[in-house]
Amino acid sequence: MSSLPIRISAHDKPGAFETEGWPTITLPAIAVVRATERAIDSFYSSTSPEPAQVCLDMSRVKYLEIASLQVMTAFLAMRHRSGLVTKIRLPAGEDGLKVRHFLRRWEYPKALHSVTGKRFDFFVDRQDLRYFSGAPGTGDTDNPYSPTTVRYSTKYGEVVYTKDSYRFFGFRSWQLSDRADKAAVVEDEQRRWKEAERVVAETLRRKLIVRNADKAQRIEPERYLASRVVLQAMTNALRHPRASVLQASSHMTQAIADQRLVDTSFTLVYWDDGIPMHATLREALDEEKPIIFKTANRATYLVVYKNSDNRVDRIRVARSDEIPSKQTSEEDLLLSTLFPGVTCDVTGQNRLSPSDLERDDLVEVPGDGLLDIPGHGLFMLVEVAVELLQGSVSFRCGDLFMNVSPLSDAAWRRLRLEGQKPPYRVKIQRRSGCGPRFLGNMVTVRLPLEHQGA
Amino acid sequence: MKYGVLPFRFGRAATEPISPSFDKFYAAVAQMCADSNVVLARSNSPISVPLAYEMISDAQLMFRISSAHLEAWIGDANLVIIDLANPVDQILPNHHIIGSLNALIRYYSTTANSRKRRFLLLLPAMLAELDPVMQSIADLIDDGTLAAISNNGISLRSAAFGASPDEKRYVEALAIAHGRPEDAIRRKLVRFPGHFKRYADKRHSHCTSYYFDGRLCEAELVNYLDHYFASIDPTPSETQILYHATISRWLSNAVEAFGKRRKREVTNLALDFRVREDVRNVTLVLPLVDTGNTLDTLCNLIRQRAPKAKIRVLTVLATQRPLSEPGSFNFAFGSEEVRVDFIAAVMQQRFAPGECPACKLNIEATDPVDPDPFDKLSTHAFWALAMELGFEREENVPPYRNSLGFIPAFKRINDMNGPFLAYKVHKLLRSSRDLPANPIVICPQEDGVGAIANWLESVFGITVIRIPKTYLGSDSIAQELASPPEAFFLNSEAQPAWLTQLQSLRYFQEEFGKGRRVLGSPNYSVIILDEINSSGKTRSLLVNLAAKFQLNIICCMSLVDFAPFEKPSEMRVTSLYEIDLVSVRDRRGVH
Repeated sequence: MSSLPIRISAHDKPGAFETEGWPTITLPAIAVVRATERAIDSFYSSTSPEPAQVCLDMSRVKYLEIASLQVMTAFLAMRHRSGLVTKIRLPAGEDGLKVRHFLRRWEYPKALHSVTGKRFDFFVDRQDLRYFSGAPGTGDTDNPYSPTTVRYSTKYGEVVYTKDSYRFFGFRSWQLSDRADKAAVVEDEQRRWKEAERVVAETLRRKLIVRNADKAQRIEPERYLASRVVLQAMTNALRHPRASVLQASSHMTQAIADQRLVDTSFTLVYWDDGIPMHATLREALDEEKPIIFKTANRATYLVVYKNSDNRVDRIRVARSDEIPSKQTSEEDLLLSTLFPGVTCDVTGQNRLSPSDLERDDLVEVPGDGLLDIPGHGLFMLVEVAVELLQGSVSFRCGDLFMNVSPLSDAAWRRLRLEGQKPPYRVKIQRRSGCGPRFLGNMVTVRLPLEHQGA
Repeated sequence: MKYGVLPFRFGRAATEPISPSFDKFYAAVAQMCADSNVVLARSNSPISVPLAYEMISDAQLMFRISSAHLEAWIGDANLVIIDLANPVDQILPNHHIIGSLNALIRYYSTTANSRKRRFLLLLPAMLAELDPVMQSIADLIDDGTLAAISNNGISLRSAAFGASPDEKRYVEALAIAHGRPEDAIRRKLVRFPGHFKRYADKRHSHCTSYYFDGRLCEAELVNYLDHYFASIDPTPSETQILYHATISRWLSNAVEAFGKRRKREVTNLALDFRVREDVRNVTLVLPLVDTGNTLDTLCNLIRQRAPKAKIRVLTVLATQRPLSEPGSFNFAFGSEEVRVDFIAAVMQQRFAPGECPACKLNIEATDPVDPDPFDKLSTHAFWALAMELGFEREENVPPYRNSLGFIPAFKRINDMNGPFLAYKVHKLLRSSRDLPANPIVICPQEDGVGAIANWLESVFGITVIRIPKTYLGSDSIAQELASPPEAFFLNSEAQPAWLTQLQSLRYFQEEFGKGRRVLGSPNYSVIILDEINSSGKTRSLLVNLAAKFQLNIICCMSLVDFAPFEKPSEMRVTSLYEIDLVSVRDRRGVH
């Protein structure tokens, strides 16, 4: 038997609140991340000022993804830090049982505690404490997704087995403010991907889709994932000023195809509560700090700008040699974080600024610009996740959302634009100005999986 | 033809001597690239270039350090082997690493002392053609200056490169250098001490003192299964792979991973007794064969389901066997015999109900699912190890203190339980957040702690600097400190490894400071490790030595602390186990 890991004690009255009558954000039954955000935006479009008490109602939810949970975490943290009260209604009844088990499997209570310093039951409506162990009545039982505590009694003794262990990585959190050794944080996450999870690695090696499939046998895509996506996402998050917490999670999504349950995609989410990336660049530009490193790498992007009503404002082809200036819009500043040679580490946490470096003892070598390669982290991440592994990368930073995906030949032809087809389609959208700003930076990488003959 | 090697080592902070097996490997690879006999270039430093996190995110730093290594011997070399595939499970080189090597190759293939010089890049896995990192060196490959080969033998080269490694021979040479997976499995098996109650037909049948755990060697086990099934199983469609893992999650992980790798269906009989009736061959994989009861039951059940199947068994561990390993034996069940192959033979203490010392002491049974819930050694674990291997009068007593008298036989304990104790040291460091990204341990060069240090190095990838006791407290270090920091690349053959390692740290610290806002820092952080602590003298000598090289001390750890109440206030001190022997001795006047 397994239940939510937090027990209720009498002195800490977490469920002192019942949310009946509170302003309520209702999540839909299928709570994918965009639907979750739409529910929050829709609530704030008719609510002003910011309510002191809000109920986040998940009672109808039958399907949830980790990206939705990460968005919820950012939302709950933002309100909690502002002294506002937010309570959750858990997915209800038998229909919500599977989702409640997913919350356990992803160790969501621990994740929320890491960000807010408050136990999970603090955020839960009193009525829903019945799903917890230790509460009056019965808690949830028989969790098929429990990480280690599924025990079977056989004639040989107890069996411990993790069903679907290769599909789930729970939320992992790192407190950054008290850690001097940020390299150890990267190493900690890297170690898991390099050596610990053999089943995950072997599954991904076989199932990740590699562009130019005839050459796929030559490379090990799971190693690309660990070396470029994980490492760059972690390194990028650690460089965001004023980040005090970093979270990572991942999940292999399944769906029914060909009358079988098959793995369809692999999702990785990284979130930090630091300054949004484009705001860091804006700060540097305002202070007239250089943010561009000379580079031989180039990239082009088809950029679709959408307004908060999801209507297309304009479309253009952007080139990575466009140099951001003080006049550059927030949208284009966020876009420029993808450009090779643009660094958000402009505050010099890790290295001197380019102009200072010129005075330093730079090595004079042939190959112009070969050694001047800071500011390539997100460029490399996108190259691997989108170009090589045919997935998508999305960014949530402040009021902006940006998604990068492969640009198909057909989509390019439809636009009838001149010039060579860019490899990427970038969608940038400003969220509705009514709701609270998204706290920090969130990077979501989605990679499709081969499921023929799985 | 002369060759030189730039042997990078990921995740290491200090230089290390190149092992003889890799010396041979590099020579073999060079020979594959030559039409005549090859010779190592003069002054090719036989030490590695560590690739700590700081370096893989700074091309400038990596360029400076790599060229300091190369400068000593490049003028004499026609072929340069650049090893970026070590240790084996490494990340792919990123844009900083390849950026610096790109500049390095262009520089050293155009400088005045260059003849026709070729570069061979050893990679953990081949880079994709779409990868911008790969595209940045494509012209060097096209013109024959550079070739690349990966651990699985896939190579990328143009005809202009000339002779190059044959893919099959390269993989074979690399396998020899890395050692056989079965050797690594035996080396990495952790033997957890505890009070393990075993059951048969839901009744307590006996107790054992150890649980053997393969959590550290799952990757090697997957490789072993790969080789094993390739050799015994030429027609996979006719063979069903079964395994039986009740509490051994490590076996389940490894077999399932093998199944994913080879698209083979694998079935855990403990959860799903699904044996195909018409199958011709059944191979059963087990974590351990001890009494044979489970094996007997499983074989009989398989026979009932698959009357005509030929049954074969692979067990990772077998008890009651001569310790010649690996091996095989025949096991009789019903009226037939099956062949049982095993990877490692182990000794297991077994007690019948009523005879188990732990039961008599009412010691709670250890949960085999989590046999090691504590960060430190439990009292039961420590004394179980001590009682197993006995006591002896302390040897090699340092001149500055009295003997502790009879103490547990630490050398034998460490030799027999190296992986377990190294696992405990690593676990304690991690849980107390004392483990930096590229950890360095400084310890005295002696047998006792040496065994643990070897495992910390080979299993956990920790850089270990072993200081001979004769140098502790010696003033001769001052002279070494006066030498220019980069000289260690040149001096490495003439001086002891520990001195080269310390000098390399000093050099990297200085180089790391260049181009950084935080000039001159951060200093490398180290962990001081000793076998036993009694007077605190060895500890303080090691601390002083580290201070001379401007190294930060994260913590001082001893395996057993005999003076737990005499801790210096200025640093963190910890141990796996504490016995207040010093206070007792002082009270009793024992010497």
